[in-house]
Amino acid sequence: MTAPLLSVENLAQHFRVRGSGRAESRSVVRAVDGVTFTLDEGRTFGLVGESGCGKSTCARSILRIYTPTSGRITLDGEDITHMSQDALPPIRRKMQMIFQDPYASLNPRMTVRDLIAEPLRAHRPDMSRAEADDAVFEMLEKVGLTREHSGRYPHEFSGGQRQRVGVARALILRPKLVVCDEPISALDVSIQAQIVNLLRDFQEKLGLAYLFIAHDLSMVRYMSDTISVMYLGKLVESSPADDLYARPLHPYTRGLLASIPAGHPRLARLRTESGLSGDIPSPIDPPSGCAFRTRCPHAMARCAEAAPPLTEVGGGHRAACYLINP
Amino acid sequence: MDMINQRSASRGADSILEIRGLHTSFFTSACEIPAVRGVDIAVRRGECLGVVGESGSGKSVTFLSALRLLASTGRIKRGEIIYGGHDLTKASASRLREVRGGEIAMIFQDPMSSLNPLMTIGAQIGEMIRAHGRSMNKNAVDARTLELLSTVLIPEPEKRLRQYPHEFSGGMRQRAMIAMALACKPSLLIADEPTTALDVSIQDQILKLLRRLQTDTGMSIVFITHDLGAVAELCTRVVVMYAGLVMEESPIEPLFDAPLHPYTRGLLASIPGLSQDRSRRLIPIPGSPPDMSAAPDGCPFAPRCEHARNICLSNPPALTPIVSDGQPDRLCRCWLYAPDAPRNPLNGGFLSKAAQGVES
Repeated sequence: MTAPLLSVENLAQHFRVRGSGRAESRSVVRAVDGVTFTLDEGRTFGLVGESGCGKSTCARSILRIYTPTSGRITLDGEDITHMSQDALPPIRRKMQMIFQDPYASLNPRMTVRDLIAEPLRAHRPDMSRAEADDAVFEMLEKVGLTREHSGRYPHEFSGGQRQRVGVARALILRPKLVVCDEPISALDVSIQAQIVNLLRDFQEKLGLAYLFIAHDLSMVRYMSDTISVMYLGKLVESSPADDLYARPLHPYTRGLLASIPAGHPRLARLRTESGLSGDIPSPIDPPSGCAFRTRCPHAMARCAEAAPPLTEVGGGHRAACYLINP
Repeated sequence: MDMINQRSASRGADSILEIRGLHTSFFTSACEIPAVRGVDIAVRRGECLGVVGESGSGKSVTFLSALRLLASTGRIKRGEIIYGGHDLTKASASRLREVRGGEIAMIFQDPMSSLNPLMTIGAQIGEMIRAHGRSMNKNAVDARTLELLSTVLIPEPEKRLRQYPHEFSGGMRQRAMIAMALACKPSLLIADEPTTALDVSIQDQILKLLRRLQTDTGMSIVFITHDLGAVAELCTRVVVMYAGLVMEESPIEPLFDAPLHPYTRGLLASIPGLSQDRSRRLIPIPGSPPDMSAAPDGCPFAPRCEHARNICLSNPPALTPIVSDGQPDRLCRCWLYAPDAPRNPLNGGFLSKAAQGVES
């Protein structure tokens, strides 16, 4: 068995909050608090959860935009957890990111050619201008644009076309891992499927691994091989994609799934499971023990004492709840 | 059975708001952008009408026009907005002030930018109550504010009304906006993408709240969204808009069972449901929505439509009644359903597919 492309062990990313006026012990936000998972080459790992649960922070720590507080990140056999900024560039060639908002993530003063060539200039100083142009033109065609588009500016494109430019920028360095942080949620509904198909085609052709973050649970299921559900910095459930939807174990996962619109008016009327009540608590002052207990219909006394561990229940399906791990 | 009764009743029922032949354009120094290009929508008393469309389809502009809330660059060029027997396009400023917020309330996508960050939630709701001429003393206003916060299920309302918007979560802000909208017991609530910025869990809570409020108060709701899933949860009738035109209008269930317009069909087919086979590719709608500064002559969807024919590119089809599967009350703007339009072989194939409905 080959080693996984990405392995994340007990990753923690804490931030100090200044000027909150609270006691010293509480002025740390545990945005990511003990996350463990692995991702194989050519596979997709989906990360879901409500906003503020730490899923984007987790991705950014993995990309080493932050320096993790503790834990270990291994990419392609190399421990990158505490690698210095000088040592990182060759690592960053292997991991790239596709952003949510193609209106905000592309510099409006740069032409599409310069936008797509920028990663090459940063990481491939050996390439000549002509070689870079050829690579850009080839990439443009692969993402469904044409050579003629290369001289234009982002404002001349529709949202879907801009996101194609975003995909081209991320893939021009031929990375092995691509973090897709809500890559379609800013796009019109009729365009979303185009981008999703594009991402899947690239995965098939290039053997890319995706860390796919989205709040649209149907889209995450469609894209991912494995899915983890995150709540206040911790994974509460992790499972092969189909199993998670067929047999959700954690009350939080069940609540999230019950919140998804049924997709058909008749199914909507037949719905029995109730969704989630209340809001996600402040990460500055999370509940003791299991962080979900304040919204959980099954909360017991012991849930307040200690957080339940993520426990395997078979078939690679793990959940952190005393209901399944008495 | 209930549904059927409701539907036949609502067909004969009067409209609370009727938009007739509305044309609204935005003007820049260089050109005119026709955002709404001849829209007829009747909102029936007591119904929840879904208005579905992508960004730029004119769905928000239609209802901003109805309340005369357009930005200074926008102008109603033609059309009537019939409310209470009068045309709001000709209404005086004071009449408009009575209608807005008092009789027709509107809530928006981003509650943070609709709330005043320097005023407490309680003060903002109180302002709303007083603005509409109810001569109430402070205690009565406070009592009404508390009652409204409880109606929208904000926990600890006594504490919450003294807080500022930044102390509220996104879902709570939207609840506060709904409380403000309800302050004057409006007969029509226009909700413009009220759940788009929210998590799916909070969206679910807000949709349930709107459904309950409608049952309790009997007010009519216009629910503007790009999300067909949310429409299925809440609405009884749907209008699908594209490029400033109504493309299809239908009771909710037939729309999902057998969508008529190729655009609606495409939208439903491109969303992966929870039962979507993961090994199968999604079926996207090709291309992008049209650039409205150069709106097309014919059917605006034709360049993206797999059934497009010559006639579609030159002549815009009309919104016509269609009887499909014995379901009345459906309208569609497409040459496929015009018996006298030149047919081509694709036509028969398409109709049989439409009859089978779309599996998504």
